[in-house]
Amino acid sequence: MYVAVKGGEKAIKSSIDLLEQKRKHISANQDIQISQLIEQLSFAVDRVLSEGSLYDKNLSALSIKQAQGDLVEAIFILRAYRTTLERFSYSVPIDTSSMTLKRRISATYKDIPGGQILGPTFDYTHRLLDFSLLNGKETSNKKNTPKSDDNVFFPRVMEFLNNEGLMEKEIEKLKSKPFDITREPMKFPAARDQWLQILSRSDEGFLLGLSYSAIRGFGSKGTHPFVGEIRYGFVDVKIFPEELGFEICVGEIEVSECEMVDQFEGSKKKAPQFTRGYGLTFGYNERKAMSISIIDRALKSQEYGEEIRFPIQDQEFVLYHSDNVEAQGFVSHLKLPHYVDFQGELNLIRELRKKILKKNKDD
Amino acid sequence: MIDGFNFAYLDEATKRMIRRTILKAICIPGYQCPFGGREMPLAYGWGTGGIQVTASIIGMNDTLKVIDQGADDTTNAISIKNFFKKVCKIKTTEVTENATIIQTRHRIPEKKLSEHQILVYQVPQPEPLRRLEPKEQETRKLHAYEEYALMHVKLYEEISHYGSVIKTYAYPVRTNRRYITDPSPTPKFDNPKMDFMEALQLFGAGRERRIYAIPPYTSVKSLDFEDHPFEIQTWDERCDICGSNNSYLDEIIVNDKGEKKFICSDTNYCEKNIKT
Amino acid sequence: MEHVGFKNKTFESQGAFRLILQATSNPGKKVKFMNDNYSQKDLHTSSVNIIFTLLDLDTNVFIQSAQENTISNFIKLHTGSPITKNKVESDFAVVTDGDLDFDSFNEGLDQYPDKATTLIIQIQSMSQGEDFVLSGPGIKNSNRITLRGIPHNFKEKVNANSSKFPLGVDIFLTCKNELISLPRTIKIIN
Repeated sequence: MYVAVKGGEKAIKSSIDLLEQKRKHISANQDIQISQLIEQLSFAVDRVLSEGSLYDKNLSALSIKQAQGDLVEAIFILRAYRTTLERFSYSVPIDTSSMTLKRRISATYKDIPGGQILGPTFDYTHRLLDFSLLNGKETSNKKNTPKSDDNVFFPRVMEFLNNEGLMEKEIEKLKSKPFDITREPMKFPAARDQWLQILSRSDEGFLLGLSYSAIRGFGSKGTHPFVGEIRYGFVDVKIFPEELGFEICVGEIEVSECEMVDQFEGSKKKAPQFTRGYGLTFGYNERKAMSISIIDRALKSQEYGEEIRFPIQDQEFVLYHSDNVEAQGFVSHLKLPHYVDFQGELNLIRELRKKILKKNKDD
Repeated sequence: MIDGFNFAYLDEATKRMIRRTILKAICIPGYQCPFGGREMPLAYGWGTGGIQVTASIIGMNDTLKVIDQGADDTTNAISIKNFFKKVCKIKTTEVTENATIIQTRHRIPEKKLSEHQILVYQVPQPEPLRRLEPKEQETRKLHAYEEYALMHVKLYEEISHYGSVIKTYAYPVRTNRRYITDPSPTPKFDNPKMDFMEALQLFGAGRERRIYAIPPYTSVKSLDFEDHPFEIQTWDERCDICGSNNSYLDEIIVNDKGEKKFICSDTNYCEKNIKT
Repeated sequence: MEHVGFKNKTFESQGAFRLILQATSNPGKKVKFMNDNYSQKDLHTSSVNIIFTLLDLDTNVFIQSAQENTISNFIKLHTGSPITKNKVESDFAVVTDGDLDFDSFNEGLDQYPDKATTLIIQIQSMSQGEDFVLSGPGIKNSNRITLRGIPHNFKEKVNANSSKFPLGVDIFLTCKNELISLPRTIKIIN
């Protein structure tokens, strides 16, 4: 009779062995190299390091390999590693206006100072299966890719609107230390530093669905936002050690940034202004940066005194449910045994039925 | 200990933060104390809160018991026990009275616990009012102002509709006559054991980032009404293995015809009964 | 930056924490720290154990002492805790001498009573002096303690503090290598 509950130890071991075998079978005799993942599956690597919130392409690729391509699992592995790392310094805020750009576009102006840089994008590819890749043929894409000059300053598109007074002012500087989701539990009502940080490592699919819901009709204004500017490229990470008294650059990271222009009606007293939504992520994650900028604007509804009607405007709804490490964990926990609780329900439902059936009979 | 990781996995700064939270939680029995919960290498919803609490209190002199659904040998209990063996190299046991720390999911052992033991609960949803009010900002106010009418109305509605409260597990309790507290999804059968328990009770909710506590010898009362007093589950059957008629029983289906048998959910209790 | 603290950070702080945990879950119970080598002129062994175990960069500390500077330097060196002059801002307060009022510290917020200050009060004796009988969560029936060198009107102050529950400060009384913990739930009944 004990067969039902004994044997957990053995079962776990076999399951882990089977999982490891599965990985080996898939890659047969050719083990995938980490460098291949970084070079050839760069979008997957970028997604995992963004949602894993640890900027390390090697470890991101390693977790993808270990997770056998299950990206949500890879994100989880990377997060669990990140949490054990000691923090040795805080960086000064990165400055995206001095970004070494690989891509920069605006949908609000045909031409902008510094120009539009299309860069590497799927946007204008025809999504036709390329059978030439099937046999692992080497692609001869060795052409010199045009790259913007280093140290060139590209003014922000949004600044032009700002200078004319048409755009709401961006927060200049935080008064207190920014919220830190990796060290603090969430607080409500949330401030913008809190939600922008959380969204930056949230599940891309969840954010995409939410932002889509808003522009399709389940959003505050029903107006159409405009892409003010999208940037993708490298920025320097600097720290300011108190003992040195000056900034030093400790490396560079790839980021994607999106600024969205949205309408705001103003009031009888206040002249109308455009409002803005902002999104920033690690790596080349343009779709996600755009989604964040739409959600950022929606989450400001409370501040603007707009009626909170839709999921995207509800801070607790958005922020509590957007993290896929939390979400996948809790959904998957339903697989755990619940027979103690279920036994309670079984007893109760029998009890209740007995009572009612007896009463019906007596009647 | 495994290479590249600290004793008990968490770094010392994280342990310190959790330890401060645990002490505050004990000073405010039943209050849900927010803490900066970390990602653990086990999934959220699988015991990360309990694991963080255990990792912050455990030392080389401890003997750890881990149970899930009352049993030492369920897969998740084994997995958590193996995790601690890997990151702490501590002693483990299945014998309830030999453990100094017992981490549990969904049960309190049948054997009475002592002052020298700590019971660590894994909690999926620490907020007893969450099903009535989804917003954290609201439930926090309800607790602050001891505004618990919502809960009483809900329970009373159940009584008028079904003839009894239809909560069989996670049945809400009042801790130290102040905070309404979620006992975690333990069956209500276990609620009376929480009242004036000799052992310290710690509750960890990892995903929701809350820790709460019930000190030893503290009043814990299941919510009820004068005309509908709280009752625990009973069985007409006895345990098919040890013959116990006073422990929580799990029902198992033994053949294709759907015939049922009942066995103790607490496996260590059951084994002890057979031996004596 | 690495702060000094315990020689064996992991295991000494774990051991010390378990004693603090035991004292706090059993208010009035005297627990003893066995690592005497950490005592120093102005701070007792038990105070140092609490400081090394619970304080760090994330805790603001208020100090009330004739030796404020020495203690402040000691805490900064070993824990990195910011020192504050503002009682209401403090997460911990280290008090080695002088009278004090509990209600001048942070008593927590209605929605976040855990934000309250924890007082570490060094006293002269835990075996001689005035008797107090305690009751509250963690105590089976009642607990008798004997204290000397405590703040004036101790009984009234403790009871006024616990009448504000869930708000109120939490108290560690320290003497040589001994510790008694008095959470805000505790009342002095005699």
